[in-house]
Amino acid sequence: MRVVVCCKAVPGGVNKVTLDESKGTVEYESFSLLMNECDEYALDAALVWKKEQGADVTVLTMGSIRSQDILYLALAKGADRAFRLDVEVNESGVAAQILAEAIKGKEYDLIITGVESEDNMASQVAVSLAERLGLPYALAVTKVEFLEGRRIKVVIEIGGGVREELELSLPAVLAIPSEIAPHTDVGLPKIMRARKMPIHSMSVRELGLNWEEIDIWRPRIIEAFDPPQAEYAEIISGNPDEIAEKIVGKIKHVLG
Amino acid sequence: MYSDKRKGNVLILAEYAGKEIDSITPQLIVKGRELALKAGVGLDAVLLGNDLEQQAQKLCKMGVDRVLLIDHASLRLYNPQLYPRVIAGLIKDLMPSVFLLGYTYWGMVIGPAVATRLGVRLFTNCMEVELAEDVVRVTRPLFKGLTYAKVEARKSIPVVVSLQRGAVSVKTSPKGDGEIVPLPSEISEGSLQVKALEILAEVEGAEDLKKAEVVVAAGRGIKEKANLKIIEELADALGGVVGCSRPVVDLGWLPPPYQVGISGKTVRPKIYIACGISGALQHVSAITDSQMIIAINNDPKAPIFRVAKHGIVGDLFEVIPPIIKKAKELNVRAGAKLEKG
Repeated sequence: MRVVVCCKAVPGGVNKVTLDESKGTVEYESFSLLMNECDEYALDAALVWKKEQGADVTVLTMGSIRSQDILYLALAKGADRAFRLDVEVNESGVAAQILAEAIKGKEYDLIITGVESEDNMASQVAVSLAERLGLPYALAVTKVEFLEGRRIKVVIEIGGGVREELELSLPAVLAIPSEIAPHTDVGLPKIMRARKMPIHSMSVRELGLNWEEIDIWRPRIIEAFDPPQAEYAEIISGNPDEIAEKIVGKIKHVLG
Repeated sequence: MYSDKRKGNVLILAEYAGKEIDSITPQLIVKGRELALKAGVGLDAVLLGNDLEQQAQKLCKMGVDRVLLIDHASLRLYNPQLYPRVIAGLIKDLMPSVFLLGYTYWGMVIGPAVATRLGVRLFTNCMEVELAEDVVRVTRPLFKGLTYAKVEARKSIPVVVSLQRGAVSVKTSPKGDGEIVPLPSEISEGSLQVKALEILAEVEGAEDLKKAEVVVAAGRGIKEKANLKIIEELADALGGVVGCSRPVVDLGWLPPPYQVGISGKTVRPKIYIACGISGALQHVSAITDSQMIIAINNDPKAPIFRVAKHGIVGDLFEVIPPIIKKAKELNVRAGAKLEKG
């Protein structure tokens, strides 16, 4: 079982977001790059498969040298090897295109990633990547069972709290929404050891892609602003008894 | 597959839950109609599945011009390979100017799948969309919703846009008589690598949450599992049920059926009380149909106060007990009127 985990480095503690008009992107302050939460859930699941059935786990990310920290974290947690595609991408469709190019022709059984990234919040990469690679996929997978004959049975969420069971042939792409395997934390010594392991990096050019041609297709951000605050709640003040009196009155009015 | 094409219409993906039309659908109809009027085109809804007569009858009275009905035994269960394949086929044939869908589990699959197959523009998780001569502009959140970005790109045909639940406020439900157009569907199940096996039974208690008039929901702010007791007491006093946000499930304090959010349940009670819930988008977009949202949180900057009608800034454990006492005293609870006869 060969598993590729796509992990994104996302900015933590984002502050002071401003528009860079010339580039059509946003600038911001952030204290560090962290592994996207649901990508880490995917990694944790892959590492359980490694423990239980000897899965081979490759971690793949995309970004500048700064994003390498999340790969060291992945190696410290037990991933077998790590790759970084040396390109900064803000657009999910473009990310899927580049990932597909990097994975195409490689040998694997499963590609897994998180459902949504915390920065771009688009939930596009898993499905778009699978479509580009011509692979079956399932989104919002909460349970995976390995069957005979290169097949898996998964449980997916389909909204409204309803779940469905699917069977997929491998290779396949799965997107993970939540903690489906126990979370593993690693201490500093393990991370320090992982920092001595090699990270393979690759440029877009090496993948045979022309960045200018890709970038021209990218949508431009033309405004960045705070979410509307106009409908801020009416704050009910007073001591707890006064608050209770007022709020119960409002509830009574609605319940009739 | 479909001869009367009316190219350039606005197309929406209708969603349903059981025999009912899902609340995302009227939201898409309102936005879809607005775009269609501006462009001087019609509004179509595609309804996909099996045994959909009742849903089609309801949908055609909700203000769309046509319900394009694809009703086929092989679509009885949602299949993430077959559904996009069928929709992509329809879109190739119909050539709408825009395809609107919800940022829901269906939409998160069908949007990117269709857009990638057809090589067209895709914007997901949008709050707003406008079409101009050559360009499309959408507004969508970034960085966990800290910032909204207005994004512009050249149009493709179609443009695929998914709207966040609650992004469009439906003040009065859209009405009107549309036509049901059953589409001849030659659906090939050949070469499918995904097989839909079955819908799993909902875990007990789950249905209550969706039907309850009062939902009292706990977030990470309750600090520990033992503190759920006060949430339960408040729900009891108001004749309601307990729900929670994702962290509470992830921490193992309540099982998944209690979760309210995009990945859990969408609720629409008369009263929704969010206790110690910060208000992540994933949670908030599943409660916006509530008649009145009340938020209790000790952080006045918590995003939950942006969606709540009434807010209480304070410590849950000081604020809630007097509310329980007062509600009991005055017999303020869901169904109290009925009980009195």
